[in-house]
Amino acid sequence: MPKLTIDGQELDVAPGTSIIQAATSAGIDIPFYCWHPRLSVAANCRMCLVEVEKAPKLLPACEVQVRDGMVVNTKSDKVLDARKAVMEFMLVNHPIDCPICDQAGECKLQNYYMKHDQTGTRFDETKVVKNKAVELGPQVVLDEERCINCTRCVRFMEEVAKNPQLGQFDRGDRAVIGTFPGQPLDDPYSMNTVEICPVGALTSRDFRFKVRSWFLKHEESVCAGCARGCNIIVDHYENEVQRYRSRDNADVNQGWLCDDGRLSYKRIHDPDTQITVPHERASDGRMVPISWEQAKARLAELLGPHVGETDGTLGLALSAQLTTEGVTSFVELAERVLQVDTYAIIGRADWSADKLLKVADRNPNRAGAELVLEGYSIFDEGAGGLQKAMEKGEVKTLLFAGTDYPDANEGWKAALEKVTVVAWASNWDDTANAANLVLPLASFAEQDGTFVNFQGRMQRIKRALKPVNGRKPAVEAAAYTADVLGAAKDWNIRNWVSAFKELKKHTNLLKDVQPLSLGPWGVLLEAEDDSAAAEESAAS
Amino acid sequence: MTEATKGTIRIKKVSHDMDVQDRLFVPAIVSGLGATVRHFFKNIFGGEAKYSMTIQYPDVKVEYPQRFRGQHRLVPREDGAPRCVACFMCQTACPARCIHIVAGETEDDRIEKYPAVFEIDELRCVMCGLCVEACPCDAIRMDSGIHPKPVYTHEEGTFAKNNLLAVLGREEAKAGGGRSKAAPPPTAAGTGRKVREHGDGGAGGSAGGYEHPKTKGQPIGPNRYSH
Repeated sequence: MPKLTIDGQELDVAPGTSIIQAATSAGIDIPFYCWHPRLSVAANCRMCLVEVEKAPKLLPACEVQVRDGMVVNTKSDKVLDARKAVMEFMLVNHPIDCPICDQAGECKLQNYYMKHDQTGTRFDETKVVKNKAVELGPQVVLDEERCINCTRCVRFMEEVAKNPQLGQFDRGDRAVIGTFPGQPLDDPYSMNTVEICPVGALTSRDFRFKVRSWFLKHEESVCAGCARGCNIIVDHYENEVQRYRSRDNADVNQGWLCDDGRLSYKRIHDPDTQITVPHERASDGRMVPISWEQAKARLAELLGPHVGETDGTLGLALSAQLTTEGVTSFVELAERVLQVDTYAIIGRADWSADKLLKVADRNPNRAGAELVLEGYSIFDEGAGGLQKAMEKGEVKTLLFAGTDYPDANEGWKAALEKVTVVAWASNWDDTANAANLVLPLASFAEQDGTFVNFQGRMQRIKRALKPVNGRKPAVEAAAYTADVLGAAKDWNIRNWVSAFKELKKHTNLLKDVQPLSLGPWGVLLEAEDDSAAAEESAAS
Repeated sequence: MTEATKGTIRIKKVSHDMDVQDRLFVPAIVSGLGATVRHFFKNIFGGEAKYSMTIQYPDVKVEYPQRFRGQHRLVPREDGAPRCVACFMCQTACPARCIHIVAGETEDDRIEKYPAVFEIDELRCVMCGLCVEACPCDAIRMDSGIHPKPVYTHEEGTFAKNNLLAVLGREEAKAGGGRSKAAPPPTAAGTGRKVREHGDGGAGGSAGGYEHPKTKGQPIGPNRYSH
């Protein structure tokens, strides 16, 4: 184990560690642009130059590996001068159009200028003029003038996406990043280049000009695009999600997101399909909005006959898009209040998995829903089984907790016509459209809870938005249903923590998991591992 | 100050003894009446030498000082489009949160960003002028010299981009009540907002703003009104 000294602090780090990694682990800040912990080292920005004793010149901290007895100084005058010089050099041809640059507020050039430079320009010549707003591909726009040629994006496409669609062309101050003729940047992971761009050169077509970064509020969450459960930061403004950024979870997504996942927030606010008020099916078949009071009466009318001892014709469909706590609440509702004989986990249809992140299952919490049903020893009929039960007439009333259904074919629609459907749903789809009563359910971004990904890792999602128009998060939706059905007095599951505690009584897997102390990287539920692996192999 | 006098309070004794003239009061009353009568006649017949500062509002209006912060306006470029590049600096600086901007993308490479929607809620505005200070392009100004006019509905109090463009600066208004190029008509196309004319073809003071004889020709400023 090499021992080295950085700024007088003695460190003992693993061999092969770079100086910058050693310094970061000791809490010493070394500025950098081109270095990225998940990419190869380019050492071309020269911002991380540090002084190493007995070395003739300053050395780039990102590239130089530690050696025993090394003495590093990151705060000497020589180093500070070098940083200032590098900053000046970078800003020579930079357009400094911060007021119209989307990166402003989260730009490394801005931050490091304030920290390491703070001088005026001495450059009297004309700046090199390059192209603004070059469309590299469907999602990414390049501003060549702002680019500092750190090549992070080029390395990402080569090393992570394994699709070298970007290259660096020309030399010196004419150097630009670009695509090859006839080959746009259309990789399904292209938007990661925007996220790792340290300056405002690469901007996303989607987020461009939408909102200034300092207006955004942030909440840690998990992407609901597929069962991978990539860790994200939800950036929102005025109670609307504006973009996702990734969080680096070494076991899940290594700091990357696929474009589909990154843009999956659009479904939450899609004005065409979003459900924010209760709806009832009118006699002519159209869905008409009704008030919550009317909805209450209608809900009691439709589900009232299934309270207590009944003929057992009520089915409960649980969407794998719900949080684990949401599923638990609805199962508790069935255990305590309603007589449910048919349970089914439903979810959105599979898509094609890829080698990097995407898994076939598009539902973020199928493993979580299965965990709950196993915990309560309930048999899951599955979407197909549910359809058969409806066709046979075993299910005459169906309560949906989320209406995501894989394949809304004619058979399914015909089966739905036969039964009375009460649906808690966030978006209009064929199932919601076939319901007799639709109640607005909050999306994952509007509630707290946990998702269990395909590996069996339980991860915390935090509420980013206030529920739009007061639609109900899953736990509250179950509580509301219980209240309407006259079980208000005994209903103690009013928030996600109490639902989690209820679930803990039924399964051993969660005995060491404390809901509120779930760390940022989640926790792997061990026994789940086998089934998850089997599921993955079955999917691929 | 010596040790001995330090901390002492000096008292000036004022004599309240009144002489015969004071005790009679009549001379004081007469001189007071004289002042009143003098003012009365001078204000009627005095012409240039008037004492009265009364201004016959609304027939005549005071021209506000140059730095008066009035109704906002957007400054147009040569082609009539606003100078604004939708950088959101004014919205960021605004303490009343009365500015709403939606940025759009233009074909023009040199500009890139333009305000597709630019609205100021004049009813929320506190007239602090921070937006003007924040603007890097001198695109928003409060130099119109007029008040935002009273309105009946909230919608009328929210000024859309075209309405803000149609407001003239005081100097422009004086120079002839309009720009050489036709200003964009005050329509709120696409904004769904009720449109109303304002500025009556020229901003306040354009009707040969009242100049008080005593202060005529003096530099405009706060001192002008202190007397």
